[in-house]
Amino acid sequence: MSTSDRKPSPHLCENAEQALDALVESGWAIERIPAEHRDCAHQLMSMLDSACDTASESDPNRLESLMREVLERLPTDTKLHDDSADALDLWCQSGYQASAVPKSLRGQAETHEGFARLISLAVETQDVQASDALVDSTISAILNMQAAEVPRDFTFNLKFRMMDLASIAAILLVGVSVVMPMISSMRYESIRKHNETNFAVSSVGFGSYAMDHTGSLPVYTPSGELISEALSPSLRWWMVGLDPTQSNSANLFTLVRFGYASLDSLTSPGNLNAGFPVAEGAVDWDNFEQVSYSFRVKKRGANRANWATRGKVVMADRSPVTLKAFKRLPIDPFENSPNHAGRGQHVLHGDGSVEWLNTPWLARNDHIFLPEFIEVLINPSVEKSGMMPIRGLERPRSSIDAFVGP
Amino acid sequence: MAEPSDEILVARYVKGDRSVLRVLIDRHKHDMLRFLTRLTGSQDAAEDAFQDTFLQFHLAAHKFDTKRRFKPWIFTIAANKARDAMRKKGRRPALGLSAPVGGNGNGAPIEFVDLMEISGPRPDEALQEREQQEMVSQAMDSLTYTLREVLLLAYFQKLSYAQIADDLDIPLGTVKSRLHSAVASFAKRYQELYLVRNPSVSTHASGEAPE
Repeated sequence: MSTSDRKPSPHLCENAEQALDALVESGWAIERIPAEHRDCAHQLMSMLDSACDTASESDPNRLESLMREVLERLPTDTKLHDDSADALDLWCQSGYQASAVPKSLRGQAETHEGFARLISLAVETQDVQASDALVDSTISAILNMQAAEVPRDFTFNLKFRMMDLASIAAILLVGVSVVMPMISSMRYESIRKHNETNFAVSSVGFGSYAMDHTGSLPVYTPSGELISEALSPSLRWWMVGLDPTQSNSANLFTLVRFGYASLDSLTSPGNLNAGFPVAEGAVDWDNFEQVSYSFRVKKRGANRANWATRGKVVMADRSPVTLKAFKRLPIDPFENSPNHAGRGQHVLHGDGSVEWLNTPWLARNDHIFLPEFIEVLINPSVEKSGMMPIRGLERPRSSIDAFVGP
Repeated sequence: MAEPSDEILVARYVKGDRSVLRVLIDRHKHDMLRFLTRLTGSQDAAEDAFQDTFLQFHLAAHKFDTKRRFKPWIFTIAANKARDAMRKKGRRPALGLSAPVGGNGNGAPIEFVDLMEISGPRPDEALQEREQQEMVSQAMDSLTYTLREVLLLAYFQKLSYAQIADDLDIPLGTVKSRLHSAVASFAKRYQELYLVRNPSVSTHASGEAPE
């Protein structure tokens, strides 16, 4: 864009006006004006100089602005007489009270007062009224400015929201803290009742089986010649679903297989992985996790284990010991059955009674999930490692050593 | 019960009571607009300045010293806003480079005015009010903006030289010289208008050059 195309500024900028004022005030003596205006004053003087130069390429519009500003500041053709000027100064200094001006100039001051009244009257009696619309738009502009100048109060909103959230969270927390234990307790009680019923029903199944099988506990191969094969000392009794001759759960499943108990009665609602075998005519659960209850592991060398033996634990809620040993995880001997979220377990005694244990220990200090020799081995070194040396080969030490699995 | 003063209302506004804004504006709206109209010579420019004045009030209210009087303060804000409004609208009369230069720039003698010798009606004289106001208005309009501004602030608003200098951000000496020029120019023009309307009235000593 060429200089001639540029729209000229109609006025001097504020700095230039101040510099011009300073120039006028100093009597056009540039060395007497304040330093901050000196550069600008130099430029103004240069512009004024250029007015005399016909060949100058100065912007005529800017030059005209400057000339106009200069003219406004030049003394007018008319000046006050000394007395009138002195009276004006004294009248102003006395707070515009003519009576306070010395008598010699009081008349002049009163004339100023008269002119001031004339001017005030002319201003005040103008036929100009500020409309309601003007007032409204002014107030509206102020309110808009106020709204714009206040930064969007995100912090306030956020704070407000946070307070809301905090309140809701607090309510929820209270609700959860009250309701959740209730729900949890209800669920826990429900599972416990369900299991208790299962144990009672199973006890009938065990009793019936015993009556049909000379008082023995169920075994996968009830025929005499196969009993010795079942659960032979070298076989791992936690091989669920792989080999029924090895798996101890296959012995328990015999109740289902021969109709002494339903599969439901041997399934705990506390076992999230509980399930039924897929294959028709199955003789065992399909895998370790499906098994809900741990059955008594047969004593090594015994031909059979009898039902209706006083003090004998026949079945218990799923063992946490074999579950962890099977998965090669550290064992905690104080851990209760996972069927009840670690709160305890049911045990079915050989006399058909069902007992609830808050710990894995029976009254006689027999750990139901561990064979006696392991219990003996629970010593500081074992506790340190947290690992129980159970390999699935362990057997109860005696006919009354409670040891269930898997 | 007496209404609260402007200064009390401003204090309340600063504390957040926005309801007093309308009260303050209503109290001064007509005077303010007349003052601005007289100053700018245009009601449009005056209304712009009016809005800007109260916007500035909103921004600067917390700086207001409630020991001072509110009205002079808000009117000096208005004077500044009027100047800005004039600047925006480019309303100053354009003068060509060929325009005669004032003062002694063209070698013409300076005319000294003694107010005591000015012919014309005094405010207390029984001249028709309307005619008188017309003459005052015309005399005012004949002044440059710079002179009109300082004349109104002194004669109408009764501000001290120091206040005017402070509010207009000009040296005290400039205030004095401008005011002297403004009063002299106004008086001379007023007399001229009076003599035009009353040709039979003779002048006495106006236009005398000092010795």
